[in-house]
Parts: sequence; C-alpha cells; structure tokens
Amino acid sequence: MKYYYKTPCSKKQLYNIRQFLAGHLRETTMSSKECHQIVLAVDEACANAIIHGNQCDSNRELQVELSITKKQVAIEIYDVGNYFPDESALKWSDQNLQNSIRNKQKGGLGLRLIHCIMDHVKYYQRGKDKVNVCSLVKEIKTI
Amino acid sequence: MKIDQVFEEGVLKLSIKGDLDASSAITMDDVIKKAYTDNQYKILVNCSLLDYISSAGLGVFISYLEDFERKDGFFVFCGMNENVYSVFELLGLHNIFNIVNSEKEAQKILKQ
Repeated sequence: MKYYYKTPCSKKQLYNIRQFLAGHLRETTMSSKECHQIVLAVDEACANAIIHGNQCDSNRELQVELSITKKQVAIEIYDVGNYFPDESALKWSDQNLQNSIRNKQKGGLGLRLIHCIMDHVKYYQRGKDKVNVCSLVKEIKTI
Repeated sequence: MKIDQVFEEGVLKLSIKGDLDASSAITMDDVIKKAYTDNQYKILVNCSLLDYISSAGLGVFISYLEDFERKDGFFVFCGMNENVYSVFELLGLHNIFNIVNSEKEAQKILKQ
C-alpha cells in the first residue's frame, strides 16, 4: 500500500506527519516500539528538511510518501530546499556525542538516530527541478 | 507541549506534558536557560506525561549539561515511557543522564 502526505514546511506540521505515519504503521506486524522508532527517524529527516533545507518557509511544501509491503516499510521525503547532510556527520562515534556536549550543540543528533533506526538511508536529487529525495527503508523481520 | 514548574527545597521540578520535538524545543530551552540564570541548578524532569521526544528535545538537555555540572547541578529524569527511554538509549544518553523510575527516587538523588 502507498500513502501520501503533503504539508507546508512548518515545524508545527511535524506532529501531523507523525500522526499520519503512526496511523498507517499500526497496520503492519511490527511492534509498537519499532513503529515508534520509524516515526522518530522520519520526524528527524522531516525536521532537517523543514528547518535546514527550507528555513521553515510555510509557502514551500514537503511531501512524505509511505510504502508498506510484507517485507519492508519505505519512506521517501521530497522537498526543494537546500539541505544535504554532511557525509562526515553520518559516520558517528561516541566522540561525536562528547563533542556535542562540549560544544553545547543542540543539533546533529537527528542523523545519528536516523542511521541507528533505518536499514537503508539515501539522499539524492531527482529530475530537472532538482527535487531532494530522502529515502529511508526498514526491513520487516519475520519470525 | 506544556511544562509545569515548581521550585521547592532547592530543586526545580519540571513536569512535561505532550511532545517535545523540533517545534517545542525552544520553549524547553527557555525554561532551562531561565533556571540557570536564576541559579536553580538541580533539575527534576518528570516525564510521566511526556508522550514523545526527538533529538531536538534531547539536544536542549545536552547543550546545558556541562554548564549545570560546573555549578554542581544536574538533571534527573523520572517516569519515562518505553518509547521516550528508547530515544535516550539509541543515542547512548542513558549512560550520561540520571534516569530513574519514580519521582521519589529522583528526589532522593537530588537531595543527596
């Protein structure tokens, strides 16, 4: 099944994005903890796109596409902002956490969460309009 | 998100209700900043009504951690639900912050 959610680039919309995801993820066989973690990863990716990519400009739009199959949950987030994660930030270590504490950083933890939770994470641009795509995939474990 | 605040016997108790995310983190930041300015360095964070936390919410506590520790202060969290605790755990923050089950246990640590 595929589901779509389109919203203005506003931080206030993050709650609605989470509700949209949580509602549909309940249809899967995943535990409520797994569902919560996927919602968290997508929330982090959307927050990055809204805040860093689109400067919370609510005239711009963000689209979330959710695909659920028996084997996986795939989410694609589309926007036309200018956020692309720093590749070095993707290689996380405990040192980064210590640096965050020492430098009083409030950001940078979201990417770590995304990578901890999701099985596949990819950022790329698509088409002439250079639409940003953040692709997140979680495999569904079968018992 | 709503934050109830009570300052009693040297401890500032913050009871958070709702979702602490990128949208509401600024409110939490203002509360912690004010506590620091008011020399209130021992903070009890009651999470029993906290439904959700994201990295933006956690980032607030991380960013003030050293400042409070320098003043012999600290944060003690209590009453977290499983989902909220899992976010601390994923980031390794359960090893950095004091996290206990009940407010009674939290008060005991803060008054030591």
